[in-house]
Amino acid sequence: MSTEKLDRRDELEALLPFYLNGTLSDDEREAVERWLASDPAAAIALEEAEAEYSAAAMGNEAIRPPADALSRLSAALERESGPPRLARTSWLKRVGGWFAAPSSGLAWGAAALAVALLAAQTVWISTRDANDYSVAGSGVEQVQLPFVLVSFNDEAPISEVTGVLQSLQLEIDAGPLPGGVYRIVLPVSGAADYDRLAAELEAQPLVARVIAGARPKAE
Amino acid sequence: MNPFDLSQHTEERAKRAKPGMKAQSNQLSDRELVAQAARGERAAVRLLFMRHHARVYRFVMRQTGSETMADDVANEVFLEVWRQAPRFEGRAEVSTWLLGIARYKALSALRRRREQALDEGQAEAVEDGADTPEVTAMKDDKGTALRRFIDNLPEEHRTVIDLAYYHGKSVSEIGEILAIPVATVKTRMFYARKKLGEALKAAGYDRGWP
Repeated sequence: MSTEKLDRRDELEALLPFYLNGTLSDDEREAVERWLASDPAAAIALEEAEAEYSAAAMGNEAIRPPADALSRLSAALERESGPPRLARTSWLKRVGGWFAAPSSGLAWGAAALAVALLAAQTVWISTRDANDYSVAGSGVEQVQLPFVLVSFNDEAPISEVTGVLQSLQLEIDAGPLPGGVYRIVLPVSGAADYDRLAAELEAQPLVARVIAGARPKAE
Repeated sequence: MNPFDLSQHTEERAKRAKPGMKAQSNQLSDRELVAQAARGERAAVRLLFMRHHARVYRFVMRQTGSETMADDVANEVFLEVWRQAPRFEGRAEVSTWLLGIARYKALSALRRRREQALDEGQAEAVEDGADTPEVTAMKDDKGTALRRFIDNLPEEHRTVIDLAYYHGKSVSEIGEILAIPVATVKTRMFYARKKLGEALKAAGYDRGWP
Protein backbone atom coordinates (compact mmCIF):
# COMPACT_ATOMS: atom_id res chain seq x y z
CA MET A 1 0.00 0.00 0.00
CA SER A 2 2.67 2.48 1.01
CA THR A 3 4.80 1.74 -1.99
CA GLU A 4 2.25 2.68 -4.68
CA LYS A 5 3.38 5.41 -7.01
CA LEU A 6 1.64 8.68 -6.28
CA ASP A 7 0.09 10.84 -8.97
CA ARG A 8 1.25 14.45 -9.19
CA ARG A 9 -1.49 15.88 -6.99
CA ASP A 10 -0.98 13.22 -4.32
CA GLU A 11 2.74 13.93 -4.36
CA LEU A 12 2.07 17.63 -3.80
CA GLU A 13 -0.15 16.67 -0.84
CA ALA A 14 2.70 14.56 0.52
CA LEU A 15 5.12 17.46 0.15
CA LEU A 16 3.06 19.93 2.22
CA PRO A 17 4.67 18.94 5.57
CA PHE A 18 8.08 19.52 4.02
CA TYR A 19 6.88 22.83 2.59
CA LEU A 20 5.97 23.83 6.14
CA ASN A 21 9.28 22.69 7.65
CA GLY A 22 11.26 24.47 4.93
CA THR A 23 13.22 21.50 3.60
CA LEU A 24 11.97 21.35 0.00
CA SER A 25 14.27 21.97 -2.92
CA ASP A 26 13.62 25.16 -4.89
CA ASP A 27 11.89 23.22 -7.67
CA GLU A 28 9.60 21.37 -5.28
CA ARG A 29 8.81 24.51 -3.33
CA GLU A 30 7.88 26.38 -6.49
CA ALA A 31 5.66 23.46 -7.61
CA VAL A 32 3.84 23.50 -4.26
CA GLU A 33 3.42 27.26 -4.43
CA ARG A 34 2.00 27.07 -7.96
CA TRP A 35 -0.48 24.45 -6.75
CA LEU A 36 -1.43 26.55 -3.72
CA ALA A 37 -2.04 29.54 -5.97
CA SER A 38 -4.16 27.65 -8.48
CA ASP A 39 -6.25 25.17 -6.49
CA PRO A 40 -8.61 26.27 -3.66
CA ALA A 41 -8.46 22.74 -2.20
CA ALA A 42 -4.71 23.15 -1.80
CA ALA A 43 -5.16 26.01 0.65
CA ILE A 44 -7.47 23.83 2.76
CA ALA A 45 -4.93 21.01 2.65
CA LEU A 46 -2.27 23.43 3.84
CA GLU A 47 -4.45 24.47 6.79
CA GLU A 48 -4.84 20.83 7.71
CA ALA A 49 -1.09 20.33 7.48
CA GLU A 50 -0.61 23.28 9.84
CA ALA A 51 -3.02 21.66 12.32
CA GLU A 52 -1.10 18.40 12.02
CA TYR A 53 2.13 20.31 12.63
CA SER A 54 0.76 21.67 15.93
CA ALA A 55 -0.69 18.32 16.97
CA ALA A 56 2.58 16.47 16.29
CA ALA A 57 4.52 19.07 18.27
CA MET A 58 2.09 18.83 21.20
CA GLY A 59 2.20 15.05 21.16
CA ASN A 60 5.99 15.03 21.29
CA GLU A 61 6.46 17.85 23.77
CA ALA A 62 4.09 16.12 26.17
CA ILE A 63 6.71 13.38 26.60
CA ARG A 64 9.01 14.35 29.46
CA PRO A 65 12.47 12.74 29.53
CA PRO A 66 13.75 11.60 32.94
CA ALA A 67 15.61 14.31 34.85
CA ASP A 68 18.53 12.15 35.90
CA ALA A 69 19.41 10.88 32.43
CA LEU A 70 22.53 13.05 32.09
CA SER A 71 24.08 11.88 35.33
CA ARG A 72 23.49 8.26 34.35
CA LEU A 73 25.07 8.88 30.95
CA SER A 74 28.08 10.53 32.62
CA ALA A 75 28.56 7.52 34.88
CA ALA A 76 28.29 5.14 31.91
CA LEU A 77 30.70 7.30 29.86
CA GLU A 78 33.32 7.11 32.59
CA ARG A 79 33.10 3.33 32.49
CA GLU A 80 33.59 3.25 28.71
CA SER A 81 37.08 3.40 27.33
CA GLY A 82 35.72 4.02 23.83
CA PRO A 83 37.49 3.16 20.59
CA PRO A 84 41.07 4.13 19.68
CA ARG A 85 41.06 7.92 19.57
CA LEU A 86 42.34 10.31 16.96
CA ALA A 87 44.46 12.26 19.43
CA ARG A 88 48.19 11.78 19.29
CA THR A 89 49.69 9.68 22.04
CA SER A 90 52.55 11.25 23.94
CA TRP A 91 56.00 9.68 23.74
CA LEU A 92 55.78 9.02 27.47
CA LYS A 93 52.68 6.87 27.02
CA ARG A 94 54.24 5.07 24.10
CA VAL A 95 57.37 4.29 26.10
CA GLY A 96 55.12 3.18 28.99
CA GLY A 97 53.34 0.90 26.55
CA TRP A 98 56.64 -0.67 25.54
CA PHE A 99 57.47 -1.36 29.19
CA ALA A 100 54.09 -3.01 29.61
CA ALA A 101 54.60 -5.28 26.58
CA PRO A 102 54.39 -8.97 27.41
CA SER A 103 57.77 -9.83 25.90
CA SER A 104 60.45 -8.92 28.43
CA GLY A 105 63.16 -8.93 25.76
CA LEU A 106 61.24 -6.43 23.68
CA ALA A 107 60.46 -4.33 26.77
CA TRP A 108 64.09 -4.09 27.82
CA GLY A 109 65.12 -3.31 24.28
CA ALA A 110 62.54 -0.54 24.11
CA ALA A 111 63.63 0.77 27.49
CA ALA A 112 67.23 0.90 26.37
CA LEU A 113 66.19 2.74 23.22
CA ALA A 114 64.09 5.20 25.24
CA VAL A 115 66.96 5.91 27.64
CA ALA A 116 69.27 6.48 24.69
CA LEU A 117 66.74 8.85 23.10
CA LEU A 118 66.34 10.75 26.37
CA ALA A 119 70.06 11.11 26.72
CA ALA A 120 70.37 12.35 23.15
CA GLN A 121 67.51 14.79 23.68
CA THR A 122 69.07 16.12 26.89
CA VAL A 123 72.38 16.72 25.13
CA TRP A 124 70.59 18.41 22.23
CA ILE A 125 68.57 20.70 24.54
CA SER A 126 71.63 21.73 26.52
CA THR A 127 73.61 22.62 23.40
CA ARG A 128 70.99 24.50 21.38
CA ASP A 129 70.22 28.22 21.22
CA ALA A 130 69.45 29.42 24.75
CA ASN A 131 66.57 31.62 23.50
CA ASP A 132 64.52 28.63 22.37
CA TYR A 133 62.54 26.46 24.64
CA SER A 134 60.68 23.23 24.16
CA VAL A 135 58.52 20.80 26.06
CA ALA A 136 60.21 17.44 25.76
CA GLY A 137 58.10 14.93 23.94
CA SER A 138 55.22 17.22 22.98
CA GLY A 139 53.75 17.40 19.50
CA VAL A 140 55.06 19.96 17.04
CA GLU A 141 52.38 22.57 17.78
CA GLN A 142 52.73 22.27 21.54
CA VAL A 143 56.51 22.68 21.46
CA GLN A 144 56.12 26.39 20.77
CA LEU A 145 53.00 27.14 22.79
CA PRO A 146 52.92 28.23 26.41
CA PHE A 147 50.43 26.30 28.51
CA VAL A 148 49.11 25.75 32.02
CA LEU A 149 47.66 22.67 33.65
CA VAL A 150 44.26 23.28 35.22
CA SER A 151 41.97 21.28 37.45
CA PHE A 152 38.32 22.23 37.89
CA ASN A 153 36.06 21.85 40.89
CA ASP A 154 34.38 18.44 40.92
CA GLU A 155 30.89 19.90 40.84
CA ALA A 156 31.63 22.36 38.02
CA PRO A 157 29.09 21.81 35.22
CA ILE A 158 30.81 21.26 31.88
CA SER A 159 28.67 23.91 30.21
CA GLU A 160 29.94 26.54 32.69
CA VAL A 161 33.54 25.39 32.31
CA THR A 162 33.18 25.76 28.55
CA GLY A 163 31.62 29.20 29.02
CA VAL A 164 34.44 30.42 31.28
CA LEU A 165 37.10 29.22 28.86
CA GLN A 166 35.31 30.80 25.92
CA SER A 167 35.05 34.11 27.78
CA LEU A 168 38.85 34.06 28.11
CA GLN A 169 39.19 32.84 24.50
CA LEU A 170 40.83 29.65 25.68
CA GLU A 171 40.15 26.04 25.03
CA ILE A 172 41.20 22.72 26.46
CA ASP A 173 44.08 21.37 24.43
CA ALA A 174 44.35 17.98 26.10
CA GLY A 175 42.95 16.09 29.03
CA PRO A 176 41.93 14.88 31.39
CA LEU A 177 45.55 13.99 32.10
CA PRO A 178 46.64 11.85 35.05
CA GLY A 179 45.54 13.66 38.19
CA GLY A 180 42.43 15.01 36.49
CA VAL A 181 44.15 18.08 35.04
CA TYR A 182 43.61 19.63 31.63
CA ARG A 183 46.25 21.29 29.46
CA ILE A 184 45.22 24.73 28.25
CA VAL A 185 47.34 26.59 25.75
CA LEU A 186 47.76 30.30 26.52
CA PRO A 187 48.01 32.46 23.40
CA VAL A 188 50.43 34.97 24.96
CA SER A 189 53.52 36.74 23.74
CA GLY A 190 55.58 36.97 26.93
CA ALA A 191 55.99 36.04 30.57
CA ALA A 192 53.94 38.99 31.87
CA ASP A 193 50.97 38.07 29.67
CA TYR A 194 51.35 34.47 30.68
CA ASP A 195 51.25 35.32 34.41
CA ARG A 196 48.30 37.67 33.95
CA LEU A 197 46.22 35.12 32.03
CA ALA A 198 47.15 32.29 34.40
CA ALA A 199 46.07 34.46 37.35
CA GLU A 200 42.85 35.38 35.59
CA LEU A 201 42.16 31.71 35.05
CA GLU A 202 42.95 30.86 38.67
CA ALA A 203 40.54 33.56 39.85
CA GLN A 204 37.60 31.78 38.24
CA PRO A 205 35.37 30.15 40.86
CA LEU A 206 35.13 26.94 38.85
CA VAL A 207 38.91 26.53 38.71
CA ALA A 208 40.41 24.51 41.57
CA ARG A 209 44.07 24.84 40.68
CA VAL A 210 46.36 26.25 38.01
CA ILE A 211 49.80 24.69 37.63
CA ALA A 212 52.36 26.53 35.55
CA GLY A 213 53.45 24.58 32.49
CA ALA A 214 55.60 25.93 29.68
CA ARG A 215 56.11 29.63 30.50
CA PRO A 216 57.81 32.12 28.21
CA LYS A 217 61.06 33.51 29.51
CA ALA A 218 60.93 36.97 31.09
CA GLU A 219 61.90 39.70 28.62
CA MET B 1 61.45 33.43 14.95
CA ASN B 2 59.93 34.33 18.27
CA PRO B 3 57.99 31.37 19.58
CA PHE B 4 55.89 33.67 21.77
CA ASP B 5 54.73 35.99 19.03
CA LEU B 6 50.97 36.29 19.52
CA SER B 7 50.11 36.69 15.83
CA GLN B 8 52.09 33.57 15.08
CA HIS B 9 50.10 31.63 17.67
CA THR B 10 46.84 32.97 16.39
CA GLU B 11 47.74 31.86 12.90
CA GLU B 12 48.78 28.46 14.17
CA ARG B 13 45.54 28.07 16.05
CA ALA B 14 43.58 29.17 13.00
CA LYS B 15 45.35 26.50 10.95
CA ARG B 16 44.37 23.92 13.51
CA ALA B 17 40.75 25.12 13.68
CA LYS B 18 38.19 22.69 12.37
CA PRO B 19 36.39 23.41 9.07
CA GLY B 20 33.13 25.26 9.56
CA MET B 21 34.12 26.75 12.91
CA LYS B 22 32.73 30.22 13.31
CA ALA B 23 35.38 32.54 14.66
CA GLN B 24 32.99 34.69 16.65
CA SER B 25 30.60 31.94 17.69
CA ASN B 26 30.44 31.16 21.39
CA GLN B 27 28.86 27.80 20.70
CA LEU B 28 30.54 24.83 19.11
CA SER B 29 28.62 23.20 16.29
CA ASP B 30 27.39 19.63 16.59
CA ARG B 31 30.02 18.51 14.09
CA GLU B 32 32.78 20.16 16.12
CA LEU B 33 31.52 18.37 19.21
CA VAL B 34 31.59 15.02 17.40
CA ALA B 35 35.16 15.80 16.30
CA GLN B 36 36.07 16.53 19.93
CA ALA B 37 34.45 13.28 21.02
CA ALA B 38 36.53 11.52 18.38
CA ARG B 39 39.61 12.94 20.11
CA GLY B 40 38.50 11.42 23.39
CA GLU B 41 36.74 14.36 25.05
CA ARG B 42 33.84 13.01 27.05
CA ALA B 43 32.63 16.54 27.75
CA ALA B 44 31.69 16.89 24.09
CA VAL B 45 29.38 13.87 24.33
CA ARG B 46 27.72 15.42 27.38
CA LEU B 47 27.12 18.64 25.44
CA LEU B 48 25.62 16.71 22.52
CA PHE B 49 23.44 14.90 25.04
CA MET B 50 22.20 18.19 26.50
CA ARG B 51 21.33 19.43 23.03
CA HIS B 52 19.67 16.36 21.60
CA HIS B 53 18.64 13.95 24.33
CA ALA B 54 15.05 15.16 24.71
CA ARG B 55 14.31 14.76 21.00
CA VAL B 56 16.02 11.39 20.79
CA TYR B 57 14.14 10.21 23.88
CA ARG B 58 10.81 11.36 22.44
CA PHE B 59 11.58 9.75 19.10
CA VAL B 60 12.27 6.39 20.75
CA MET B 61 9.31 6.76 23.09
CA ARG B 62 7.02 7.24 20.08
CA GLN B 63 8.55 4.20 18.40
CA THR B 64 8.38 1.85 21.35
CA GLY B 65 5.67 3.24 23.61
CA SER B 66 7.83 2.32 26.58
CA GLU B 67 9.48 4.83 28.93
CA THR B 68 11.97 2.24 30.13
CA MET B 69 12.95 1.31 26.60
CA ALA B 70 13.13 4.97 25.54
CA ASP B 71 15.38 5.75 28.50
CA ASP B 72 17.71 2.82 27.84
CA VAL B 73 17.86 3.34 24.09
CA ALA B 74 18.33 7.12 24.28
CA ASN B 75 21.27 6.74 26.68
CA GLU B 76 22.71 3.97 24.54
CA VAL B 77 22.55 6.28 21.49
CA PHE B 78 24.95 8.73 23.14
CA LEU B 79 27.29 5.98 24.29
CA GLU B 80 27.30 4.85 20.66
CA VAL B 81 28.27 8.40 19.66
CA TRP B 82 31.25 8.11 22.01
CA ARG B 83 32.22 4.77 20.45
CA GLN B 84 31.55 5.71 16.84
CA ALA B 85 32.64 9.37 16.77
CA PRO B 86 35.95 8.68 14.99
CA ARG B 87 33.98 7.05 12.18
CA PHE B 88 31.44 9.89 11.73
CA GLU B 89 31.98 11.10 8.17
CA GLY B 90 29.85 14.22 8.40
CA ARG B 91 27.75 13.45 5.35
CA ALA B 92 24.54 13.84 7.36
CA GLU B 93 23.53 16.33 10.02
CA VAL B 94 24.49 15.11 13.48
CA SER B 95 20.83 15.12 14.53
CA THR B 96 19.97 12.89 11.55
CA TRP B 97 22.82 10.55 12.50
CA LEU B 98 21.55 10.37 16.08
CA LEU B 99 18.00 9.58 14.99
CA GLY B 100 19.31 6.90 12.63
CA ILE B 101 21.16 5.24 15.51
CA ALA B 102 18.07 5.63 17.71
CA ARG B 103 15.85 4.04 15.09
CA TYR B 104 18.13 1.03 14.70
CA LYS B 105 18.44 0.51 18.46
CA ALA B 106 14.71 0.98 19.03
CA LEU B 107 13.89 -1.69 16.44
CA SER B 108 16.42 -4.05 18.02
CA ALA B 109 14.92 -3.43 21.47
CA LEU B 110 11.40 -4.03 20.15
CA ARG B 111 12.50 -7.25 18.49
CA ARG B 112 14.03 -8.47 21.77
CA ARG B 113 10.86 -7.59 23.63
CA ARG B 114 8.70 -9.48 21.11
CA GLU B 115 10.95 -12.55 21.34
CA GLN B 116 10.80 -12.36 25.12
CA ALA B 117 7.00 -12.03 25.06
CA LEU B 118 6.72 -15.03 22.75
CA ASP B 119 8.97 -17.03 25.02
CA GLU B 120 6.77 -16.14 27.95
CA GLY B 121 3.57 -16.84 25.99
CA GLN B 122 2.24 -13.32 26.42
CA ALA B 123 -0.24 -11.72 24.04
CA GLU B 124 1.30 -8.83 22.11
CA ALA B 125 -1.69 -6.55 22.43
CA VAL B 126 -4.69 -6.63 24.68
CA GLU B 127 -7.97 -5.13 23.58
CA ASP B 128 -9.38 -3.19 26.51
CA GLY B 129 -12.87 -2.61 25.16
CA ALA B 130 -12.46 1.15 25.38
CA ASP B 131 -13.83 3.58 22.83
CA THR B 132 -12.34 3.47 19.36
CA PRO B 133 -10.07 6.45 18.62
CA GLU B 134 -12.85 7.93 16.46
CA VAL B 135 -15.46 7.68 19.23
CA THR B 136 -13.08 9.11 21.83
CA ALA B 137 -12.19 11.92 19.46
CA MET B 138 -15.82 13.00 19.24
CA LYS B 139 -15.42 14.11 22.86
CA ASP B 140 -12.31 16.18 22.06
CA ASP B 141 -11.68 19.44 20.26
CA LYS B 142 -10.20 19.13 16.80
CA GLY B 143 -6.58 19.70 17.89
CA THR B 144 -6.76 17.12 20.65
CA ALA B 145 -8.51 14.70 18.31
CA LEU B 146 -5.82 15.15 15.69
CA ARG B 147 -3.12 14.51 18.28
CA ARG B 148 -4.89 11.33 19.32
CA PHE B 149 -5.20 10.22 15.68
CA ILE B 150 -1.50 10.81 15.10
CA ASP B 151 -0.74 8.75 18.22
CA ASN B 152 -2.88 5.94 16.82
CA LEU B 153 -1.42 5.86 13.32
CA PRO B 154 0.53 2.75 12.39
CA GLU B 155 4.12 3.17 13.51
CA GLU B 156 5.52 3.57 9.97
CA HIS B 157 3.12 6.44 9.31
CA ARG B 158 3.44 8.12 12.69
CA THR B 159 7.22 8.12 12.36
CA VAL B 160 7.29 10.06 9.10
CA ILE B 161 4.77 12.54 10.57
CA ASP B 162 6.96 13.05 13.65
CA LEU B 163 10.19 13.27 11.69
CA ALA B 164 8.80 15.90 9.32
CA TYR B 165 6.66 17.97 11.66
CA TYR B 166 8.49 17.68 14.98
CA HIS B 167 12.08 16.92 14.03
CA GLY B 168 12.04 19.14 10.91
CA LYS B 169 13.64 16.53 8.67
CA SER B 170 13.59 16.57 4.88
CA VAL B 171 12.34 13.75 2.64
CA SER B 172 15.90 12.53 2.01
CA GLU B 173 16.88 12.76 5.70
CA ILE B 174 13.85 10.69 6.68
CA GLY B 175 14.89 8.20 4.01
CA GLU B 176 18.35 8.01 5.63
CA ILE B 177 17.01 7.62 9.16
CA LEU B 178 14.52 4.91 8.23
CA ALA B 179 16.72 3.34 5.52
CA ILE B 180 13.95 3.58 2.90
CA PRO B 181 13.81 5.23 -0.56
CA VAL B 182 12.58 8.83 -0.81
CA ALA B 183 9.60 7.66 -2.89
CA THR B 184 8.53 5.49 0.03
CA VAL B 185 8.86 8.44 2.40
CA LYS B 186 6.44 10.39 0.18
CA THR B 187 3.93 7.57 -0.11
CA ARG B 188 4.02 6.95 3.65
CA MET B 189 3.47 10.63 4.25
CA PHE B 190 0.59 10.71 1.77
CA TYR B 191 -1.19 7.74 3.36
CA ALA B 192 -0.49 8.98 6.88
CA ARG B 193 -2.17 12.27 6.06
CA LYS B 194 -4.98 10.52 4.22
CA LYS B 195 -5.69 8.36 7.29
CA LEU B 196 -5.73 11.45 9.49
CA GLY B 197 -8.24 13.05 7.12
CA GLU B 198 -10.46 9.98 7.17
CA ALA B 199 -10.30 9.73 10.96
CA LEU B 200 -11.22 13.40 11.35
CA LYS B 201 -14.11 12.98 8.94
CA ALA B 202 -15.37 9.89 10.81
CA ALA B 203 -15.24 11.90 14.04
CA GLY B 204 -17.38 14.61 12.51
CA TYR B 205 -14.69 17.12 11.59
CA ASP B 206 -14.78 18.37 8.06
CA ARG B 207 -11.58 18.17 6.07
CA GLY B 208 -10.91 19.52 2.66
CA TRP B 209 -9.33 16.39 1.37
CA PRO B 210 -9.13 13.66 0.10
